[in-house]
Amino acid sequence: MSASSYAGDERLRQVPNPFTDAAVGSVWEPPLADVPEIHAAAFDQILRVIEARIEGRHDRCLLLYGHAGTGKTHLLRRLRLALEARTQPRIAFSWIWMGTSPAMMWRYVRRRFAADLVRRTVGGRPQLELLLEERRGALDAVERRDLAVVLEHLAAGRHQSDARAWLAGEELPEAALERLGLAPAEADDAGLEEEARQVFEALAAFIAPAPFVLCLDQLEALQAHPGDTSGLFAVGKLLAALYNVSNAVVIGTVQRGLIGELDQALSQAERERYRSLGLEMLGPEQVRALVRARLETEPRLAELRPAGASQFWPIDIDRVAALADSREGVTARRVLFECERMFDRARGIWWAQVPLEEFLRAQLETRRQEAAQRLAPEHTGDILSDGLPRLLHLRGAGIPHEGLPRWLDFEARPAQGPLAGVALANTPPQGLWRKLEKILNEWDPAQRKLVLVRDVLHPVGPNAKKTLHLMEELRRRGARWLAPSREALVALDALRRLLAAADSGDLSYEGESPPVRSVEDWIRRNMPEELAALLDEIVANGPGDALPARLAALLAEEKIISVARAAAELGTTEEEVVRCARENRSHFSLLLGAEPVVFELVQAAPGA
Amino acid sequence: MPETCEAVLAAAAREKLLEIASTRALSKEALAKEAARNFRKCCSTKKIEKLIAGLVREGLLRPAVAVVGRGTLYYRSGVALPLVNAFRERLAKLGLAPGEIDRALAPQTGGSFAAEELLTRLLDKVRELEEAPGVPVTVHRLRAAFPRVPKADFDRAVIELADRRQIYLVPHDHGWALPEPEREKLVHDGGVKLYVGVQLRR
Repeated sequence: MSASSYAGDERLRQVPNPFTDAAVGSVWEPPLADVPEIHAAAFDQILRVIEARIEGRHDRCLLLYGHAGTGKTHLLRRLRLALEARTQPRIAFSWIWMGTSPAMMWRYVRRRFAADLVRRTVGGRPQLELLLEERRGALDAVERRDLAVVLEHLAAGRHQSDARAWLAGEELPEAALERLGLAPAEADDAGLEEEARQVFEALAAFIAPAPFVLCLDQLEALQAHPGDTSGLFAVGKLLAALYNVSNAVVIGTVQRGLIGELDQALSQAERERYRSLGLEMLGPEQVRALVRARLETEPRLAELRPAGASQFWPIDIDRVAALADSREGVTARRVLFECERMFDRARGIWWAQVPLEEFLRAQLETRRQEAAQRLAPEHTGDILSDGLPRLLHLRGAGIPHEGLPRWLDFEARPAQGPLAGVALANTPPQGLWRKLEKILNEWDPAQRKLVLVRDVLHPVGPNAKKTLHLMEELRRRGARWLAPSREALVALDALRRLLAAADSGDLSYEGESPPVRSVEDWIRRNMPEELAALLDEIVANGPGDALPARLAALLAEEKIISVARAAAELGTTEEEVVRCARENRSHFSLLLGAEPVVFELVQAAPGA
Repeated sequence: MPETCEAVLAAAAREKLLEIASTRALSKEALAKEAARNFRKCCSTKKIEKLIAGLVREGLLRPAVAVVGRGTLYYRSGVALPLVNAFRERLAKLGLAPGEIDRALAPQTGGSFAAEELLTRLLDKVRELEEAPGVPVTVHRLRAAFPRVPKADFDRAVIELADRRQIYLVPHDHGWALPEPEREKLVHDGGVKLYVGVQLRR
């Protein structure tokens, strides 16, 4: 929002606007003015569930519904502060923004949970350090050997960096695993998901009998796009699984507008695994209390207040409180936005309206800078698996998840052109070959084209001969390998976060959430080049694109075939077949003569 | 005056006009004069009158013609209270006591007992279906409890309950992107809003 000043109360200009920071971005932010009576009922309910867990009584997960800007994150921050103040028992706290895809959710939860335990401090000491100090005697009872070993190292202060990385599920070189005393795992994606879930559960068991709080913020972010039912199924599965973790107090937050879809998508059994809690919209009295609390953060205002002015000066409180009368009610964010503007106006600062386009550009740029700082190999799996379906959906492709083979992450079904199966292959090299072998055995090029994605932060070393051979073999059969660049990954991360914020109503434009449609349209028009090229590669549908795969499929049966017959079988011209073979010399070979023939170029297997 | 300064002044004047029109319905002249007072000759009444015309064109201000003998009054779109208050003022000047006006303007039940009864039953049902305070009740579930009520009546009744400040409405964020049969399951306000749930006001 740009502002210009031209007149107003000079004295007020010396005072910072107490209404800025309308949105709480994270529960880890320091405390600001809090009005305990706002959402007191929901807060008490959460505390009651925690007390019940302390006493060993099992309860359902909590699903906290609230309109964007009602104060869901604010409430969780209040909870975090309350829990930090208690020591008997100490209650670990984790807050996870659910910006991942259903296929990777357990790996994501493990990583974020481990990161919160390791990095977030209470009284200056990391939560895990405190837990290890209190629960050292329980290390022998940890069921998974690898977790027990890693916790032993952490408790003894050995190999801290590697041990923390393992706890978060990061890929470690063999030498580091050897130092830790662990064997390299050779799991494929499904195996890695299962392992992440088991490690999370074992870690929870180590913390028991003390409870811990796991906040899963914005569960709707598991959807690739509004209306994506597979994201909703994932919410149901996740809550059902966490219900079985006996010492976890799970608090999921979700946009209240999603209640209808969740209601219809989840089974009765899944719905019974959680209890709904709601955040009320603000009533006029709560609006007054909120404004008063913010004004009181600036004691100078009381001194500057003209004689006889209301305690809310310089805010026109009746006008702000009247916002509560609207059909949809008013949120704390909206109230703070109006007050921020009113306060600025009182000191002669007038806001000129920023066009939505400009606002979105600035939002994207901020996210792009954050994404560039955050970019690391352990994050790119989430970026690709969450970001690509979001953007392909924007490009008009359907993204069905149902009925796909397990080795395929998703399928892009463009409005025109062939189906494109997308397999993300950022799997560690120890497990990648398994995945590739499976794909090679099961992929039918005639059914769908195949795009394999492994980003530049996950290079395959020259020693991974088997993996390299399988990669080449797949390429030879017509699969396309894409290696998104750093720039593309940064742009994708920034865009998926912008879209998720729009879906969750967390973009505050003029105190309201801009319509998701408008944000999507803007992104379509402003797709960064590096991303546009990446998406084109996935859904490209020119005749040349499908031909190598179809020719490879034909040659898989025939081994060697005349160009004329190949052209007839594939419904194309002899020239096209020759061109295709020449352009794909690493896959096909031509013997020209009276009757030209084409055949597969078979490479020697490594070690042969 | 530099162009940017003028643009800022215009933006400020528009804000002021909307602010005033949110609380009072006034004639164009009175509205312009009231807004101009805040700008100490930086912005003439004439310029502000032009801004009023612009706001009317954009649909942000609404003109109401001849409220009990007065000329056209302007008030903020979507905020009915200024106009209702202007009406009250006129009725008071005609000799009606505040209590009489309140009774006269209160929701009428006479000719539409069925509609009033539907409102009561709807509210009872919302209370019954509410899982916990603050948790919305889906329109889908609520609608299922009133299978014989035509959709238009149902929608109107839900909106009426919201206008009487007994419930909040929960908008659907991509309702217009849904296929028609799905959209039919939402409450439509007759304009651009579709609602997926309702929430009790306390």
